[in-house]
Amino acid sequence: MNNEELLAYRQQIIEDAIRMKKKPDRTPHFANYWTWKILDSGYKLSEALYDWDKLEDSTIKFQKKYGFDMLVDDGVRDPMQVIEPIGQSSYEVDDEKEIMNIRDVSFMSPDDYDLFLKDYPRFLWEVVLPNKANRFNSDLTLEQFGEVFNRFNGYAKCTQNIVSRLNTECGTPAGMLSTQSTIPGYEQLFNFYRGIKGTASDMRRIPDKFKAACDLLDEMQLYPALEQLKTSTRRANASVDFIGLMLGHTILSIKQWEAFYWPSFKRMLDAVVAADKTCYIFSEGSTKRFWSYFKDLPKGHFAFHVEQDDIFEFKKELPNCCAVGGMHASLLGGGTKEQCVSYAKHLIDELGGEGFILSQDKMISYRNDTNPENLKAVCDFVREYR
Amino acid sequence: MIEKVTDQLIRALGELDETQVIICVKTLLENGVDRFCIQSLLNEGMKRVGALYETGEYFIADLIVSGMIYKNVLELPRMRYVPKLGERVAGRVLVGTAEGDVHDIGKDLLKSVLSANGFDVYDLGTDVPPKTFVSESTRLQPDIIAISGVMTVAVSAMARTIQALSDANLRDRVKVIVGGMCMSEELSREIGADAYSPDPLEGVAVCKNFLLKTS
Ligand code: B12
Repeated sequence: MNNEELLAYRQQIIEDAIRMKKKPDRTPHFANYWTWKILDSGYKLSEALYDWDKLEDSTIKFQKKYGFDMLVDDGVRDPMQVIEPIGQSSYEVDDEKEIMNIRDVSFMSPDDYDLFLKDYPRFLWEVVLPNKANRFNSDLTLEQFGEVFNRFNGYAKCTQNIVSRLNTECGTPAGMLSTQSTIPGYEQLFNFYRGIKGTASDMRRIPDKFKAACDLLDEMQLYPALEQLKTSTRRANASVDFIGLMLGHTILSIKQWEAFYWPSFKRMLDAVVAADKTCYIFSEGSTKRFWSYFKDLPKGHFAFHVEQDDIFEFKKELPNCCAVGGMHASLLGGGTKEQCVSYAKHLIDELGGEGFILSQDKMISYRNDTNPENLKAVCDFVREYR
Repeated sequence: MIEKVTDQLIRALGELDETQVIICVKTLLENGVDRFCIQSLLNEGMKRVGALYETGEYFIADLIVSGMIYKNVLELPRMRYVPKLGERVAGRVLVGTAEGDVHDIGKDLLKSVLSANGFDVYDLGTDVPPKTFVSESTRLQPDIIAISGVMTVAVSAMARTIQALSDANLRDRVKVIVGGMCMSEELSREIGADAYSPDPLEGVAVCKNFLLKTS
């Protein structure tokens, strides 16, 4: 197969796995690989995270070596260098430990909700920016501010290059960063504004304001994007039509889920169904206590990543949804080649066919998360096994 | 009257009603109720929170808030209590998240449950290198070290920490309990920890047991 044919083939097996109308030619394999890609390609973390060319190179090298059907991280997950000229405090790279730290920070205080709700652009400018970029209000020059835009350009170009080279040189469809995606208001507050502790506290102490902020973000961003979904056509290089995130559910009780999460999340799921699209939900942690909400989703639209839950149980409880995952980081990192391949075979024998995409449970980040030889063996096996 | 307020306090903490909790505590203090008595009432309230967590009514966000309320009460002027070095409370515990890992939600939950049970808790924060565990153990002489971690890298960091404690000849003076979602019973044994628990409440029971055995 040439790369064009390979791209079409991969798109088809992913489509078949999610649509669940016919058995895909073989089980598709998604890469849940993050900073590990950099380490495996021989760069230090800081080298690649601060040099777009090296970052691009590490991603392409990775895909040429292993040959996945889709890279969830197909671009630049952590573009910390973009805002560095105006100061950033949430990221830290440690080359000796081969670790990138992200701190759980809140970029606003509970008192700032009033401005958030009254004048959102002003809130971003006066509250979020100075909190996020710690040099924003001090001795900042116009040149430094301009440099942020230069770097943003570099970032956009890097993402574009990666996606296009994955398509043309590796016959690989688009992943998370280059697929249409919208983040509900709750997830935004959780991930970008208030952090985990702030979110937990606001839901209890000032639930009305918190909910109003979720709703405002949904009105401004989520609902218009869902409107667009109705008429949008699939991109030529797509793996799926739409990607959703499920991260902030990890702390929610059922009551909170029903108050803050489910209404807009359901609207998103309904829009996907109404537009007859396919959607991959990148979900972290355990989703089990919410499975009953997904039971009635029509078959053939959704693929959920399974991190902490038992993937066999997921398939049993939600036969209407495609499961993504199954391969444990602990096995890839600590097992033998034979054990890894035999477990991959077991997963495919039990779950393969419609409704299953093989992937790694965790976001693979650290060197010991995977032994490269194990990964190579699993990837080769999955491509051949029918 | 006092009895009514004590009931109210327990109920308010169980319901995570922070304003009410603070009002009750202030009233009790004004009426001469001592800080230890108030703390034991708080602990009753925390037990209710734990029970509601177990039934699924509460989840992590609620536990985080219960920890915040608890901490805020203990920081009220007349509630504050700093044990002197060398002074024994239920026992002294050093807690920290393993090197390389900055996740602290689980660690903080553990910390509030330990404090609620009368332990004298020292928090070393997150991303704590083995050498810090060693130097702080030498300085503070804890009975127990509790290490938390959620990321795969935390496993080897915990192993290195336990090794470093042995190298510094501290291992037989201190018990090590590990937890967090990177851990399992089996792994904890492999790395030479004294105990593992997936649950802070159970973890505290284990810590109490350690002390019973050593005393
Ligand atoms: C919240 C979170 C974050 C927050 C952390 C906020 C904070 N203040 O802690 C933020 C956003 C900052 C973050 C950052 C990152 N994260 Co993160 N994060 C999570 C998440 C969603 C939840 C973790 C959590 O707090 N759980 C809730 C707590 C309560 O659970 P717990 O710690 O296990 O604690 C319970 C028990 O275990 C017990 N316990 C805990 N400790 C102890 C100790 C003892 C002694 C005892 C007895 C009991 C006990 O008590 C608790 C209550 O029951 C997980 C995904 C998931 N699985 O849910 C990913 C996850 C842990 N993160 C991950 C990653 C990769 C990262 C990042 C590298 C960023 C990235 N590229 O996304 C960074 C950097 C982190 C670093 N260097 O540490 C990966 C790790 C993968 C791996 N290879 O190991 C995970 C698994 C996500 C995934 N999909 O793969 N993350």
